[in-house]
Amino acid sequence: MAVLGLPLAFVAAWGRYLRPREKPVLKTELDADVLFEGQATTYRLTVSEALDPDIDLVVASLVRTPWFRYDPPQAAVAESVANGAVTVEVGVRSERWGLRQLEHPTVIATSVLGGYRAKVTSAEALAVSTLPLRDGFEAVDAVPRPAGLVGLHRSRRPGEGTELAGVRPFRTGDRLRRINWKVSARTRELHVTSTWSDRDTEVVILLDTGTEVGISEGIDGRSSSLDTAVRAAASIAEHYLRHGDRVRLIDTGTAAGGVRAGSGRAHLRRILDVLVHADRRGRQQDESQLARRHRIRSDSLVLVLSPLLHQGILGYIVTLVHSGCTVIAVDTLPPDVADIIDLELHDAKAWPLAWRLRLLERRAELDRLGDLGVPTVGWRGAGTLDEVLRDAARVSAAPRMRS
Amino acid sequence: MSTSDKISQWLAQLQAMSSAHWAARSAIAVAGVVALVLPGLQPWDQMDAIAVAGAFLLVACVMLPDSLAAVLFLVVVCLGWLMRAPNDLSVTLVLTGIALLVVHLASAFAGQLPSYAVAGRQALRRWLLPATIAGLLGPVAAVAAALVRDAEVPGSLVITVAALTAATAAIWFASGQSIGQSD
Repeated sequence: MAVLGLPLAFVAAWGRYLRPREKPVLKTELDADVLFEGQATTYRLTVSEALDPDIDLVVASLVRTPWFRYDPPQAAVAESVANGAVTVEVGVRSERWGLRQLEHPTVIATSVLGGYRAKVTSAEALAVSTLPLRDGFEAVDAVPRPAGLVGLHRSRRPGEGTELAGVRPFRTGDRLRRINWKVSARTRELHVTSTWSDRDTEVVILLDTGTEVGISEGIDGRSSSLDTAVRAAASIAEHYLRHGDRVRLIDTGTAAGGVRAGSGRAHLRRILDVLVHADRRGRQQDESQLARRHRIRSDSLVLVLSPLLHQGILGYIVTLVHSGCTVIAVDTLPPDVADIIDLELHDAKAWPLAWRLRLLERRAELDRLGDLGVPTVGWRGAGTLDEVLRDAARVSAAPRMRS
Repeated sequence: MSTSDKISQWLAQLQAMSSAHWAARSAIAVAGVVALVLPGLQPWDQMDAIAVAGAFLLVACVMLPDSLAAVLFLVVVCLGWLMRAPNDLSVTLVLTGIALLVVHLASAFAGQLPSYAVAGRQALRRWLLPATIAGLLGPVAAVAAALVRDAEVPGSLVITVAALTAATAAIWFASGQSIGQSD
C-alpha cells in the first residue's frame, strides 16, 4: 500500500502545497487591427505581470475564425511562466476583406503538476478590419471627359499645368513667369512656354452588392462575384484618387452604403472603410429605386462592377447611358459559375444546363448593352480597363452630330 | 455535431498532435502496459477482470488523457494488487508503483493542454523535480519497510512513516526548494 500510494500521495501533496492563490488577469492586443488582404499581424496574449509564482503553465487556444489563418496553424500555444509573466503570440493572417471579430481566446493557467487549473477570461473582443486592397491597379491615363482643374490627366485644352504643350509667341494675358527667355533671346520676340491644363474627372463606382455568385475562398483561392467586385472597386478607387480624380461609390444593394464624390488619401480610406461592410447581406434595389436614389452627373465616368444578372442593374445602366454618362461594365461573374454545384441543393444534371441557358440569355443582354455603347470587360486586375478607356476617350473626343 | 463530425474532428486533432502530446501519450501507453503486464506475470492469481478492465481503461487513457480514465486505471491496478497479491515487498511491486506514477503524471501533463497545442520543453521544467522525488519514494519506501519488518521493531508502521517523512524532507531541502516559494 505504501509503495503504491506514497509516490502518488507525495505528488498530490506537492501540487496542493504549490497551489496558486491569485487569479491571473489576461490582456489581449493586436499589433495592427487594420490589414490588407493577405497581410498578417500578431495576436498577443499577456497574462498580468503580477502573476502568481505558483502558476506553471499558460495554455492559450484561439477559436479559429473563418478567413483567418493562424501561425501555429491550430492556434494553440502552451507557454511556461518566466519572470512572473507570460506572453503568448499567435500570428494571424487575414485572407478575406471584411470586418471580423476574433473570438475570445480560451486561456487556462495551471499550477505545478497540473494540480490546479484556472480559466482566464479577457474582457475585450478584438476586431480586425481587412481592407480589400492588395496589388496595384493601373489603367491608361485616359478619361473620357476630364472636368475639373486639379487632377493629373492631360487635358485637351491648354492652360495651367505641368505637361509641356509647346512654345508660342507671347499674347496679352500670359504670365511673365511663363516667358521662355532662351527662345525669346534667339528670336528677338517674346515667347512663352505653354502647357496643357491638368484635369480631373468624376469617377463613379457602381458596386453591385445585392447578388453574390460563386464560391469565396479568400485571397489565395477562388473569388465570388462580390469578392471580385469589392477588390476591383478598391483598386479602381485607389488608382483614380492617386491621379487626383474625384471618386464616388454607389452601392446598388443596401449592404455597403455609398460614399459621395471626393478626392485625396482620406477619401480612399473612407471608401475602403465602407467596402469592408459589403459582405453584409444587402437587398437588391430595382431600376426605379436606383435611378431615384442615386443621381449621377451626366459627364461622369461610371464603372459598374456587377455579375450583370439582375434586371434592375441592366435597366439602370441603360438609364445612365441615356442620361449621358460614359458607362463601362466590369463583369464580375466567376467564369466557372456553371460548374459550382451543391449536390444537397441542386440537381447534378439540371443545374449546369440551367446555368448555360441563363448565360446565353445574359450574353444577349450584354450584346444589347454593347449596342448602346456600354463595353463589358471581365476583371483581370491591372490593365483591365485600358482598351475600353481608350475607346471611350476616342469616342468622346470625336465631333458630335446633332440630329 | 454528429458522430461522424466528431470522429473527423478527433482524427484531425490526432493528425495535428504536437510532439509534447505524442511523448506524453507514449509514456502513458508504455507505463500503462508495464503496470498491467507485470502483475500478470506474477505467480499469484490475478483476477481476469483486472486485466480486461485495465486494458480498456488504458486505451481510454491514451485517447482521452483529460478524462477520468487515468484515475480509474490507477484504482483498478491498485485493487488488483491489494485484493490478490501476497503481502511481500518485491521489485515488481516497486516497478508497478513507478509505472502508475508515470501514468498519473503523463496524464496530468497531457490533460492540461489541447492535443494540438505547441508546447516547448520548458513546459516540463518544473515537473522534473517533484516527479523524480516521487519516483524515488517507491524504492525508498520498499527498502525502509523491508528493513523495519526484518528488524521486527515494535510500532514499525510509525517508524516507517517517520523515516519516509524525514527522507522526503531531506530530498526536498537538498534540492534547494524553499517553503512558500516555488522558484
